[in-house]
Amino acid sequence: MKNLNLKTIGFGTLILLGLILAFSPVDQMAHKHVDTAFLLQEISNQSHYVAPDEVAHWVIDKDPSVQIIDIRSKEDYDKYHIPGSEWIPLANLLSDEAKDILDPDKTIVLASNGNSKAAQAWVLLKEAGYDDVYVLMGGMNYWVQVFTNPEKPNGAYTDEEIFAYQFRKAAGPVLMGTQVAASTDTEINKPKKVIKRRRKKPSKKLDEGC
Amino acid sequence: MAPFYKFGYFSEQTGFLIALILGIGFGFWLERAGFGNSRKLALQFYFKDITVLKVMFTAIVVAMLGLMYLSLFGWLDISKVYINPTYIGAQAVGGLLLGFGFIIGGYCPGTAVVGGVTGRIDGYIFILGALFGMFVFGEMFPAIEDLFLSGNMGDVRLMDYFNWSSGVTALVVVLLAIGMFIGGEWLERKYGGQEA
Repeated sequence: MKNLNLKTIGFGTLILLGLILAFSPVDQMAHKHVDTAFLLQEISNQSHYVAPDEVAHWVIDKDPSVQIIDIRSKEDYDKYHIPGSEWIPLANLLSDEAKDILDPDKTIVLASNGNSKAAQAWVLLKEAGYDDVYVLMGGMNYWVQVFTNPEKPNGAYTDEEIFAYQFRKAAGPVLMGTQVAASTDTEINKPKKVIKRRRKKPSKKLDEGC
Repeated sequence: MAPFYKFGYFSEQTGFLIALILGIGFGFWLERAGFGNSRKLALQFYFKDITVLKVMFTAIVVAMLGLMYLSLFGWLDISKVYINPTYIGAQAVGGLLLGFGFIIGGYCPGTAVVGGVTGRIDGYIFILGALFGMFVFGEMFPAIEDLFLSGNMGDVRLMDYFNWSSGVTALVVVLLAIGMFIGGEWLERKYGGQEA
């Protein structure tokens, strides 16, 4: 008898909890919540930037989990764009066509001329619920400068700086579509050192179950 | 605001540590429930002991209610909770294969490890079999890639598929679970006994 009672209580509680949910506005409450304090924190410690070198590695590796979005004007995009990047002007960022292009499961890198437009786009996308969004640091202007005419480290440079310089020099022709710098420095190899990625890995599929 | 990881409360490394602790807890409670014993696990297929079914449905219902209420109270952004994508074709075939393996070996992958660490030889044999299966899968992957990707439905949940509200879906799952419990115990009484 006691056993039966316990079971009845258990089942009753479950049904009650289920009934409450059935009449509660669960879906209305589940609207995507954007923590503005968290966005502000990301902006203030600049963790929403991604360096051109990092993006260059993804472009060269043809990393399928990365999506580069060019938000400049069509003319600018046609003149030059990062290989593999897709064009969505800032004004159309939240349109249906843009939604078809933007993949919420991918790391999205936003490229504009400088930083500010891309940063605006970054806020918009974050608010629209995209998690893994970054701004290309310095925009296309800095990108072109870095890969056409990389600054040679002088004075007391570190290994890291010289690796970065060599990488920029070597990657330039590939990324810019020019052959200017291709032949000169034969000893330059792609650095073996893998630059640590700042972006968060997409959550691994953890198999639940028994 | 949960999920904590998505909101940057801890780093990836801390996440691994938490996963380790959760995993150890999971294994511990599987063992405590008696799931390190392949005989006990196999009994469910003869409707003699449906503990496994009850434990699984209890876990499903508790997790579901917890997530729903946290979301209702605004403590959890459920859109940021990762959902395994559904590949209905691949998962039907995979589920059948896993079921056959479960009946033959008396373990599923997790419980095999639990059985192994409590010193059961059949657990180790089962783990070796599972590793061999992974190897075979990897080697023949090009041949079965189409099957592997068949029936892709994306990150779909029951409420998305049936177009019900989340709350109603929760109630249906609760009723389903209770039906399973009652039906399972009826079967248990019918085929009864622990002899095996």
